[in-house]
Amino acid sequence: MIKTFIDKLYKEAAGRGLSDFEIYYKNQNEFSLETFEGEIDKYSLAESGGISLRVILNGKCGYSYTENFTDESIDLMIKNAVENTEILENEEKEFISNGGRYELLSLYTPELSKVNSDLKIKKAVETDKYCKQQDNRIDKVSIYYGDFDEAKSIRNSKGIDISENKNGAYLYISVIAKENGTTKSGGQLLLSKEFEKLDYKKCADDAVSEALAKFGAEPVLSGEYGVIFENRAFANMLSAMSGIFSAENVLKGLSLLKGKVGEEIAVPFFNLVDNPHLETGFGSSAFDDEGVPTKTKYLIKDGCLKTYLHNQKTAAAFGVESTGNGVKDSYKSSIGISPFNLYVEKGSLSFDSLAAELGNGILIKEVAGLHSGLNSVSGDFSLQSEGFLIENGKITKPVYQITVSGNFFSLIKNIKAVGSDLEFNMSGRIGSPSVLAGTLSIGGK
Amino acid sequence: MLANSVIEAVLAEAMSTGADFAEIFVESRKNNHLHLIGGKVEKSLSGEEFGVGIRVIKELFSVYAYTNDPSLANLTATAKKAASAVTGTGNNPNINLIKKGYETLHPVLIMPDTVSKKDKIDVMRLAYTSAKEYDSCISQVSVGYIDYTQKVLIANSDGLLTDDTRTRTRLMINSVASNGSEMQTGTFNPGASSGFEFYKSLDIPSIGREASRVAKTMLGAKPCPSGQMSVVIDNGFGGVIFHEACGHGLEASSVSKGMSVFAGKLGQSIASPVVTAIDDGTIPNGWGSLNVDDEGTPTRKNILIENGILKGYMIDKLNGKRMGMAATGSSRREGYKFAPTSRMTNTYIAEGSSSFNELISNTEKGLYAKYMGGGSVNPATGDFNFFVMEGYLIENGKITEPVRGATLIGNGPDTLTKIDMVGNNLAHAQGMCGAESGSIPANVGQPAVRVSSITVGGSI
Repeated sequence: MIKTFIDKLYKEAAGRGLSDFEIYYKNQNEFSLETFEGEIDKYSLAESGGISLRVILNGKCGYSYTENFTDESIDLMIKNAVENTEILENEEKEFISNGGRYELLSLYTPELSKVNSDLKIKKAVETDKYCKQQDNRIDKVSIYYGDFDEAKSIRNSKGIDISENKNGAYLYISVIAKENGTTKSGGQLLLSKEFEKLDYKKCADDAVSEALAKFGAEPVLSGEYGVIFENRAFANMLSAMSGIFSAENVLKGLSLLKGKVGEEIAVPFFNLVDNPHLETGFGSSAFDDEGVPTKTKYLIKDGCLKTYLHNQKTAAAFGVESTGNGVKDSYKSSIGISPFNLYVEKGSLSFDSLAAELGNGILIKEVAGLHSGLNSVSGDFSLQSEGFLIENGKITKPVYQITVSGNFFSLIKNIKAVGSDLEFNMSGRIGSPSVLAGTLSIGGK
Repeated sequence: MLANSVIEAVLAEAMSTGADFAEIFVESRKNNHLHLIGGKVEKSLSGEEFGVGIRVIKELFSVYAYTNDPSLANLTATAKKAASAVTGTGNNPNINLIKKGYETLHPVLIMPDTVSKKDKIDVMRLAYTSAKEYDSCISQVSVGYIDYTQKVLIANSDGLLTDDTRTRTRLMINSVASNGSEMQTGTFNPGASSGFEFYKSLDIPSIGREASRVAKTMLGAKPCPSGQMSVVIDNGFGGVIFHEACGHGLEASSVSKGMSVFAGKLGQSIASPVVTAIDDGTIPNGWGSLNVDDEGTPTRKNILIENGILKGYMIDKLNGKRMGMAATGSSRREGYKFAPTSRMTNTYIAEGSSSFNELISNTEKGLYAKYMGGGSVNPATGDFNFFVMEGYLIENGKITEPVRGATLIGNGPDTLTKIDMVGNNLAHAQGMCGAESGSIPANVGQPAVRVSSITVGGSI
């Protein structure tokens, strides 16, 4: 049904004399479940997709999209996309890609799609009960399991006709513990392409111990402290800052990295990579949303800014080749810029060595309020945090109701050490090892 | 949008394995999005979203399925898949659909699809120019414009059949000030459940200039101090403090499972006696308003807290069942891809009796938060945060120097008891709220309030 719709749309667009256009299709099959009080509570299954038409006329680019795959939509889509080109005023030209050589990636695990939902329910319910049994302070447990099956395809007027399938699963366990009128929460996330590799028990143990370890937490006195950001906390900050590498933001005067390619912007042992070909990566893809082949690149190597992330439009404006990072936020969006699997390369120091090097300071395990307390334009951040005191190189008392503040651009110039414990965050696309940052402001008592 | 015969067949299939309740939600949504930056229109997108969500409930267990294909064959197959998660035998209920209509409380005078793109761009350009020309330190201004019309049809196995049309529009102005090595920003995003007539009622140049004034002021501001202090939070978007400190914690989504710090506290004093807080989905043309909620229940004005006493929660059908309480017209979802659950609409702290000047002059030493950014909360623990976009020191009862933004953090139940003065200049502001059932438009609001002590996450 969709294939017929795309064929008709293609024929009609070509038939109306359009010579530069692209049809993008994304389809998802999703399954998710949630437990509560040792039973399955919610269950969701879905199939949905959407089609976007991009038309380039006189160098200007207009879009239209639909989820209504009827013949009436075809005419409306073409009409709207063309109209949308007519009011644009930007000077940068947009392009329909010729494609190229694509990396052969294996992103689809057939076994995952065959796992019976009864097994998914059974494991979740068992684990819910297991968490409750670990400690009598455990008050509430929720197990979230989900898997997805995604197809992306691009067909354009230059002859590209490509598609890619991928799938994956996630397990998130959240527990709430109560003691003497105080409530603490803990959680752990696992991502995998294979159902059997999801270690439910370990995930549960981590969530439970995280919650329990928070009892007795207190804020610290406001002041300057040496800080270690735990891997996922740093990955979350990196994710919120990742727009600084977008050539679009640089072009528009929204990134402080403007004019800095080739310059040292971080300490010499800080390396940042975008690797779209990681077979275990949840952001992987052989081609970007313009059909340009993706490639692995260093954004920061030995502390130097090597390149911005480009799509075809920004690449032409900068006189370089596209880095294959032309990405849509959703099928409805215009082509923007985004990394695929962005991560800080791991260093050689274990977490314990980082703590030993710090001596006395604060370990930040969680940061909250990233969408409001971190500004990628200024680089300033002021974030609610939780973690532990580090005293004489060892983790001691839990801390909470504190904030950590600073500026991200200064932070990366003052990093003291990068750990070896690389982990990806909840999106599965942004990762980092734990990082021993310099001195930062902590707000507390 | 869907023939009655199709609806009845799909609901019957959904009930065929012994469910207590089934619901069908049909959504058609037409969107327009324009973006202007550096004085040039550089993005224009439009499109249509369409889908159907089918929910099946047995006791407290719920299944949700959604699809884009509205054909009878596909919908009955989808309903069958959802129903197969429920084990039992149906009793073939006779579903008697009774259409419920109403007069809209949110009239639209100028439908967005009757307005030319040029007219929309003129509004954006007015905002752009007034912001850009404010000062030579303004290095960039971006303006976003969106409008959409969402048509929904809701039917359920209790015989309800209703529909609603929601037209909304919003302008997003972001101004950047730079001095060569640093940049700071100021943002305003006014919106309403209205048509294009909204822009005639707005003083756009004034809003554009204000965004730039904030960016410029913050560029020249020193860092904010750290520690516990008194904070006066001004009106409008300052209401985000209540949204985070208390609002989410009063949604039945977490209350019904005992996963909110405010669960089990009806009738108790949870805030200082000067706090009265309301969630009202009926405010005419309010950004978060709707005639009926996304389960088809008419919205209403819900008093949440009265003089510090917890009077009510925001409740959807399923969580209401869990709590043994009636739904309050508070069930919302981003679209057909989400099952609905209790959420906020237009939430605000009611007007008090103090004047703004009294709040400041009664503060020996503290922080004046003129404009707020967003925030977030963990409803289970009550720990929340929200960001000060433009701040000033208060010294000896007077507003003095500007300070750069900082996050304020606290614990909901504690902070609510520390709101010790409430002003009389109530205003509302628009935001997008993200939670379990997706991202939805919501108003926040309050008069200026004073919090006697809260942790400020500055850097000095």
